[in-house]
Amino acid sequence: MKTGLWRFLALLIALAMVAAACGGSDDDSESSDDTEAVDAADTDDAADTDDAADTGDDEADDAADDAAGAADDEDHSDDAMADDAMADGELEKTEIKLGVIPIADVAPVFIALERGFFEEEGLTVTTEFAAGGAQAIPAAVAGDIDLAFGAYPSALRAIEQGIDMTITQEAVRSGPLFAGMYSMPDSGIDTLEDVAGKTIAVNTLNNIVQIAVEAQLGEVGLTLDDVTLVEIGFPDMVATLELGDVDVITVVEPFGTIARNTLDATLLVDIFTGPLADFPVAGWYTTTEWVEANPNTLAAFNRAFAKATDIAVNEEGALAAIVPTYTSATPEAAAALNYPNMVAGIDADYLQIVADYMVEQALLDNPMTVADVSIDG
Amino acid sequence: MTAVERLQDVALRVAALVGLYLFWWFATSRADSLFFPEPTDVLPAVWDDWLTDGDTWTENIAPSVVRIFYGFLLAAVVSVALGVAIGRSRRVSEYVEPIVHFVRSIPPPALLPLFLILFGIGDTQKVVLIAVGVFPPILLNTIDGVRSVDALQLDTAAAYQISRWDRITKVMIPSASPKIFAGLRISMSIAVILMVISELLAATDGLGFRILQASRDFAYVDLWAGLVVLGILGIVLNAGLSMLEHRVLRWTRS
Amino acid sequence: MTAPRSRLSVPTAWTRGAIGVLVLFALAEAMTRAEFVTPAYLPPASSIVGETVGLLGDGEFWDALGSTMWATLLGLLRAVVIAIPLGVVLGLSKRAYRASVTIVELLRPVPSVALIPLATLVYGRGTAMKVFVVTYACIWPLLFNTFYGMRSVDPVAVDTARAFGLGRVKTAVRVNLPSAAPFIFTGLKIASAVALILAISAEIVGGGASGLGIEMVEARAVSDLQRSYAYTLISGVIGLIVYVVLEFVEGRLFAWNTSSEVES
Repeated sequence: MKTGLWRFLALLIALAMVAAACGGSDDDSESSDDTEAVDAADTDDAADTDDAADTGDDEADDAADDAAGAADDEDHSDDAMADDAMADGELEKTEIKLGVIPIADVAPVFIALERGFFEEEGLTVTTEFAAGGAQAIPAAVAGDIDLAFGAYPSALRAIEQGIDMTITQEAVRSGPLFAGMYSMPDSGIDTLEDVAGKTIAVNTLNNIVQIAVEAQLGEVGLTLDDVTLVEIGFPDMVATLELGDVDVITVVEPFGTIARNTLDATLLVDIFTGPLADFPVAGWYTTTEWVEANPNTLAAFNRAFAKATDIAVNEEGALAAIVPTYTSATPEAAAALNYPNMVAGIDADYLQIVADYMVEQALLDNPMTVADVSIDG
Repeated sequence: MTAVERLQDVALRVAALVGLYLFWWFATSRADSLFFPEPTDVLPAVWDDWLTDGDTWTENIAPSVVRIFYGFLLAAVVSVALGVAIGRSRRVSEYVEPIVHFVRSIPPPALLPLFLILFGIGDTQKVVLIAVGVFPPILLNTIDGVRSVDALQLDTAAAYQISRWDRITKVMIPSASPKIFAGLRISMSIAVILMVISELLAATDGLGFRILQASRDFAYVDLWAGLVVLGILGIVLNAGLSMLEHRVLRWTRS
Repeated sequence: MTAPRSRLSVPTAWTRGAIGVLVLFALAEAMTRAEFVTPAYLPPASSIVGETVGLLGDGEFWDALGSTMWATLLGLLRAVVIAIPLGVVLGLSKRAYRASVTIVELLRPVPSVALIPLATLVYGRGTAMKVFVVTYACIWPLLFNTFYGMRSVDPVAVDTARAFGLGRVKTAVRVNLPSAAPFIFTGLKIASAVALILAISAEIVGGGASGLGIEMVEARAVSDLQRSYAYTLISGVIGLIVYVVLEFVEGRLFAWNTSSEVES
């Protein structure tokens, strides 16, 4: 009888190993392959494998362990390579994945892709859409994407919470009419003061748009307590305004122009004016680990991006041509958009203003020096 | 169950919970990861920041529970009524079942933007989403339960000239009750899931909303505390439903 | 007890089902054409259906389908391998069951969707994350149905087997398992539906590189609502097809059994 039971268990273990073997797939990262093996080992303990979350926990924990371990290994080999590489300026990685948001801001990426700037630097670049920087950061932590584009507050908050990120490059500073608060033409809300007691939609709570909204409200004597903020993604915002589900929407281009054109919406305020003119909005960041492991790759990306930004800013019609290829804007609309100030390079002291506002608005618990969390120069 | 058996039962369950806790503690302290905080951090947070925090009750727990309640009630009433009507006729159920299975197969997050447009951003949208997601199992189980009612019992009732209404309420429904309740219990778990999903978009309060914001804020202790609270909520809701089931089934048997 | 369906009535059942669907479509068309909601946000049902059919000729759709189905199948397989043996063991031992039921009741209500941020941290946003989400969600229906199936065995049959000297394991294999098989299959049916839904949900909520949910979100991001709805529609259709296929298989495998429904 006992042998029967042992055979039974052996069969279970064998089955689990088969599943583990089948479980790995091509686009899994190293860490998840390790996880599969750990799975098999886990199912050995019949008692402990009672529940999925335990297995999940264990997988996750071991994967976190293994990811750290795997990354460490990567680091060592990369350092070794980097030592040689620095001599040659060779890239540590040639394939990189960018996490981007489908808005006008990331146009230089697509310009660079279209004109082969990345290829010139020896980089094969793919893009993956995310809803915002806050979503891209976990992906960067997991090693799933290499560089994340997003608003600075996400990165700063992540750093404060203990996630080791580094800001690698600026991308966007606000420009005139780049972002605004809009209401329906016949809604009775015609000036910013009228929004007291109303519902305002922002694309992400506690992020850059909210910072600007709160600052602008302060300029007319209102606080966030005087309004109701609702988080709605940009694509759905125009619809909710038209249908009357929200009173005011806060959008960036191209949705601002879309709102004006299709709804004849009233612009209540350009949120990046006054003290927030030319405000640092979004840029590139990734894990500190990645930055340390891939200095040449990062430099190559930054160069290509800077080149594309130059084109975007200085070449007539470049933006109007590229934006329709990855957003819903038509070529006519793209030509008429109010683009932000696209910049390249990084001025950490300039970015400090973001951290300062965050502290003032209780979005950061403690003051932070942005220069400490940005790459040098 | 005898008293001794009861004690054994409780002891086993407690031992299992302790085992779970130890495992959690062991795994997280080994992993030493920001994203997987130890239970010694999470459980106090559950108590301080969630269960004993008045704001949490008014802004997170209560709104979500209310939505689950209304969504579940709406789905249950409609589904049981429809299920009884449909289940009595094999033909009618053949017309209807594929539609139900189709609706059931749509991933709820895919419905969020559509419901946003149809029902706005408030509670109605969330309640409807919960109801729509929850009704297929209740409906299908009710139909099944009604179908498997003993035909002999029904015929006997008809032979005794018992009215159609009485036949339905006094014979069919009590007979189908176990299956109906099975459907209700499945749906309760689904309702909790849908509550979380419904709060992913255009929410201003709720349990799911808070968990979502915790993940955006990289506040992992709060996130895990929220997950624990979800687990507790699930247990409480299921226990409530079970108690109701016992009452109703005892009453129908009399 | 439901009477077994005769061969002739099966096609009729399907035609009735088809009629039901057509009626629903007609209603939807009427409502969308009546423009309760601006057509820009909710196109007419017929054009959505048209776009859906058009997807079938679109290479992108098939790539996305492949990616989603792959994650679905992997997740389901892992859940099967974990949950069914576990359910068998729990079904055989009352003590093990009692010990674990509290744990299960605590973990089960945690929605897989809520775990997506954590899964993303560990696995990134690709297949592995989806597989985790699917596995977690599918374990429960499989576990419960296997367990109930094991416990639903006729005790007389078990006693008889033991009286004949069959050991515990042999009894389990020869008596409990065949009796539990229909229940296990029901669990598989449910889990399959759950797996597909969760794979797509994970894509929508968690993001990633490829999949039906990703296509849906991307279409939405460029305000191509028609395409986004088409993907929603086709997700439902695929789920329906999977269900029908499994029903058919179940009918063949378990023709001798007419009542085995314990959903969980």
